[in-house]
Amino acid sequence: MSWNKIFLVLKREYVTRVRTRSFILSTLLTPLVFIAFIAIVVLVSLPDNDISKKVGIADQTGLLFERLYELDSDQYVDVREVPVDTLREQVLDGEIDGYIILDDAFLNGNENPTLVYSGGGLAFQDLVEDDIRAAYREARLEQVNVTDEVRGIFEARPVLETLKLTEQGEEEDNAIAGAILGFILGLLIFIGVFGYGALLMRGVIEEKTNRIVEVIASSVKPIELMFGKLFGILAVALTQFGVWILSYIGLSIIAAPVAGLILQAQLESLPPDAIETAEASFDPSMLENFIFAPSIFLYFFVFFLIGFLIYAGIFAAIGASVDSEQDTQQFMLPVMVPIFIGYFLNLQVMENPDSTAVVIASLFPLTAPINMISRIASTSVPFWQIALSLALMAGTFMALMWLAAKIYRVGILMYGKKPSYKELAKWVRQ
Amino acid sequence: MGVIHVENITKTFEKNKAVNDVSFSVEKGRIFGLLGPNGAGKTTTIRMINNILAPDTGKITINGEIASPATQKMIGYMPEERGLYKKMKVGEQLMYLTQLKGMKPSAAKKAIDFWLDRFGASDWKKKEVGELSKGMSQKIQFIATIAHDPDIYIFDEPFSGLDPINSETLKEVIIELRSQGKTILFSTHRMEQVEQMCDDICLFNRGKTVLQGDLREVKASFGKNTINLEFEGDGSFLDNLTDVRLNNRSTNFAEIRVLNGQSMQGILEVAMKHAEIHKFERIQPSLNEIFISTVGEDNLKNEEV
Repeated sequence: MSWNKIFLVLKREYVTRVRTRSFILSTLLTPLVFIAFIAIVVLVSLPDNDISKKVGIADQTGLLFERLYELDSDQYVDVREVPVDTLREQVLDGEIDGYIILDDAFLNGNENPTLVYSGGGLAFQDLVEDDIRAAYREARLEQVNVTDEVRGIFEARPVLETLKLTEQGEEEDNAIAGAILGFILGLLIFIGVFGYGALLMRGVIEEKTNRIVEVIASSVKPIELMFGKLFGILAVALTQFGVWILSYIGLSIIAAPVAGLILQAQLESLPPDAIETAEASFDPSMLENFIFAPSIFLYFFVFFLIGFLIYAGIFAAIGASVDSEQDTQQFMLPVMVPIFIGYFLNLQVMENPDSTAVVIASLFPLTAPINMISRIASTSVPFWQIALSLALMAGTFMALMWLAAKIYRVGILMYGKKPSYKELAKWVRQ
Repeated sequence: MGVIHVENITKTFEKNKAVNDVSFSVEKGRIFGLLGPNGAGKTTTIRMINNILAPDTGKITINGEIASPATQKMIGYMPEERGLYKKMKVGEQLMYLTQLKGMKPSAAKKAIDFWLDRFGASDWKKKEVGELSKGMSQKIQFIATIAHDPDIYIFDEPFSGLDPINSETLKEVIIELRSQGKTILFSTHRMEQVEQMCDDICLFNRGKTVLQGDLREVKASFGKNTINLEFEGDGSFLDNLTDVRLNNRSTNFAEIRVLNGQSMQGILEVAMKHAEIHKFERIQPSLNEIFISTVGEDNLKNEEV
């Protein structure tokens, strides 16, 4: 095998693809999407003061309205004196957003109250529900005359805090951020393997339909051509992911300080009494949860690399076996099934990274590239599992590449009839 | 031993013997024509010479070396199905293909500039191949074949799809290459080109060589068994002749191959009765006639077996 020729093919493959407008745009725009995402996280968590819904409360018990009014004086209006028909009209006219009749049956726990309204979203419903529950609990507690101690028990809201133990000692656990990262990295590998694999396949078909492949074959061995193309595309993918990961690392490091500054500016424009609630609802240091140890990204590149190599040989062989993209479908199914299984299992990995099914998926070489990286990000995976999965993947890669090279070698010079699996088997033995 | 030496090669695809025990030798500085009907095994043979396919049995040597990646560099090959990367610029594409043939970038650049200039194509360097007309991209293809200055040139059906002007240019270049001592092998089924250009021929049928040698000697071996007839008047008498084959017939011309010892004098008598004879000449058969009769006989023989 001539490395010089492989390198020439690789260089052409890389240079012609990296120069295309679509590559440059998708590479540079994606980090902007990261920024937008972080900005949205910040904005959503900032205090939102414009809930301006009016809910009429027809309180027939005389115990609940005052309490609701205390909870949110803007939201609740007393409509005890207004007849129901008028209330309905008011809702339809938009004068109020809804009304609730609270009677003794409710206070006695026999009946649920009904919010009659013209719509307003789940958040609004939850808000009203929370307020009603709070008012109800307080009224009832007072009715039965419990001690302050009991009241304290009811009001207590213990929170589960977590501390993750690692070899390096204790660290603050960011399980949610880790699970999200794991899912995204798995998704990236899925997209990368599938997208770049398909790109490789189209490139092989293009060389066949352009008929240039015979010219090339008179200068390089088929296996050199295949490796050159494969590694060229791999280099394109690594360039793109490299840019993304580096900009992610950079952004995640500066995100917390920058968000802090934005928040500071916002707080200064708020009235003093709102500052406290605002500060409580958003803590810029939570963004630090999005800073991850570089090792996870290293794993990402290793798993993407081997995952790509496992599938890319097959994609190249499929491209070599057919004359046009329409003919690829019958061969695509066996490739798509495992890769999509990996993709769908990824949700499971996020929720339950240590379940048996997920552990198996993260070891099985065809789904491991996607599922193992998600697991590594979400939980602490024993090293032997990582090593086993890498070893299985490497073995699969070599076996599939051998098979693919055989099919590729014969296929690139075959035109006309679409081969059957039986014929492909003959090519391999040739 | 010839520059290209093919010895008893066989290539089987599944059950089909595409090339069956073929041997020939191409001498340095000569133009060698590989002839034969479609599917006779010409392209498969050419691919084996180019080390794209490997023969099942037999041996191919190029300049005395067994066909290998090293011998690929000695050959400039233009396949029958031509093609280039459509979205790549002409200059980059030629650089790529020439470097794949083992040329250093600086030397490649010089050679490419020389040939682009020679074909009046220097302005196209920055253009994508997809933007070029068919004739233009054929020139680029040709440059891609020859730019690395090999000793041996192999063209598979080089004239198919060429317009008359490009056809003529190609012919000139091929003859020029021979005058520089290069060796050329090409396959075709256009006999007039073979007659004009080839020194040696090899005729393929059904995967075997059925006729080969120096073109003039081959033709002489068939003897003067053909009549070149020019006449004026009603040509329908020609249809009534027996034991002849009519080639190249038009309103006042016919090439008559005499078969089974039919008397030429008898034909002349019949002709004189029906038309005014301008010319009656005994000649060697045309290559076309040789091709048709040899392949025809071979097919007949195969059917009997």
